[in-house]
Amino acid sequence: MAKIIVVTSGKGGVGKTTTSASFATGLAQEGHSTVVIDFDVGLRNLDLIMGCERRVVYDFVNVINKEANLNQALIRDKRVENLSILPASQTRDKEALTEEGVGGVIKDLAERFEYVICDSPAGIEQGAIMAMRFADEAIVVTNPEVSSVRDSDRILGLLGSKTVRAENGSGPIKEHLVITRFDPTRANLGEMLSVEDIQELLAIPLLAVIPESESVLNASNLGAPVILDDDSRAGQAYSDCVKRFLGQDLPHRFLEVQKKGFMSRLLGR
Amino acid sequence: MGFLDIFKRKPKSAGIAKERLQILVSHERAERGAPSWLPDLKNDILEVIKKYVEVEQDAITVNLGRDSHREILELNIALPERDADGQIVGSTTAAAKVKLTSNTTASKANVATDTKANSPAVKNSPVSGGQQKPASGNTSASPNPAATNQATTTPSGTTQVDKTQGTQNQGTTTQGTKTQGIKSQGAKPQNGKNQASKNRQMRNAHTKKPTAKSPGAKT
Ligand SMILES: Nc1ncnc2c1ncn2[C@@H]1O[C@H](COP(=O)(O)OP(=O)(O)OP(=O)(O)O)[C@@H](O)[C@H]1O
Ligand SMILES: [Mg+2]
Repeated sequence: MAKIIVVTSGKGGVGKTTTSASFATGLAQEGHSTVVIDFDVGLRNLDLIMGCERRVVYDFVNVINKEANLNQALIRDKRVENLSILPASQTRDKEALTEEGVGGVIKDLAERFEYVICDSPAGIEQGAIMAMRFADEAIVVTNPEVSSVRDSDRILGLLGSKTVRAENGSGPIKEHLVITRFDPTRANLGEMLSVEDIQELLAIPLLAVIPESESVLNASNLGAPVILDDDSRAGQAYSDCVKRFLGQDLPHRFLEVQKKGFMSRLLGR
Repeated sequence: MGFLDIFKRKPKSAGIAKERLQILVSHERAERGAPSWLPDLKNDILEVIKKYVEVEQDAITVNLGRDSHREILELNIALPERDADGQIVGSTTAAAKVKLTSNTTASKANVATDTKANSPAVKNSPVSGGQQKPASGNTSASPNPAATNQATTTPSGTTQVDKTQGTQNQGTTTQGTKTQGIKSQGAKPQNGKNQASKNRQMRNAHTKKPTAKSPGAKT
């Protein structure tokens, strides 16, 4: 049985798409067939981050409206085996994501893949609700910052009420906390919420802490998920994140202030 | 800025951020599960009080919490305190907790009233029909030990959330839980395995929240 996983946050720009791209890529690298869906209809971005923007012909909404079938719309990743992308439509709006339509597509995908990753748009409207609607597990992406934490709590409330699992009592959604753009220097100085603070406030199990890293911008410039950059701290943290998700017991890295060597300073890593 | 100023800015902002979030988030969690009539009830009560005392629109907070047996409707009303010339010199909070045993009405319920003075040392003075309360530190003790998390206000105006309750919950991810003492009473003690479901319960329950609008903050 496939696992449907939503990557969500409430607040915009916290790293949902970055996380979705790397997480899906990591699962595929570990040998699991994975598809990642962009639910951000009208503001599609996942294709850019995955570097497949020029290969988009049909999209999610075309499939919902039966203007194309899944085989036509799915884009197979060129670097990693077992990985496909279902891009969002850039010309429609989020109302195109009907419950029936989304449910049908997810059901079909669940027959073909082990993992279905849903990259949620920001907000709490139709797009975000549909992205979480059919989920079995949720990755809640949070930045160490007040508005992001508050919005995450709101999203946790919705996960507990607006999802199929919440409604039909088929067991609660399993929730995971991923803290991104974490800066240990500022957290140590007390200028930024610490990992413990956020964990305490949201009270869901911590899956990963991804450090603030220039390599994320670099990766999106290149159109290659940062997890493929083995040398970067963010890439390594996402790698750990995937392995931990799959059951490995790994300590959290990059929580401490990094003592920068001359070379790494030069390379901005 | 002098070199030494670096050391003066010690009360760092992350601590304040966390404190604000704890209060806000528990408020919002409480509102999430609240019945739709709660705002109307609040308005009506406010109108009644206004007939007798001059109070601000935000002087009243109404929370619905619950323990394992019943729902608890909690009212907090900040009443202005005046000196001999009628000048407002501070405020007193009158807090009432009404326990609703499932579908019974409030008239049958057990009403306890505390008066909280405008100082961190909170006096307990049961006014009407209150049960005998255990003395418990500086929290305004309520009949239900699970509902004793109160925000008290220090003279400097910072809000502190008392975290003495709910300790058996949640192992490592504690504080958020502790401020929600209501949960620790309502549910059977569970172990870490069931954490996700516990969190959900906690988040969606009508959780009691710390009294954020504390009287001292206004003076
Ligand atoms: N660990 C990180 N270090 C540095 N920058 C990051 C990190 N994670 C994300 N970013 C940057 O933050 C910005 C937003 O990231 P992303 O698009 O993944 O967020 P999002 O939550 O999907 O946004 P939206 O809500 O608009 O969909 C991007 O510019 C990205 O490069
Ligand atoms: Mg995005």
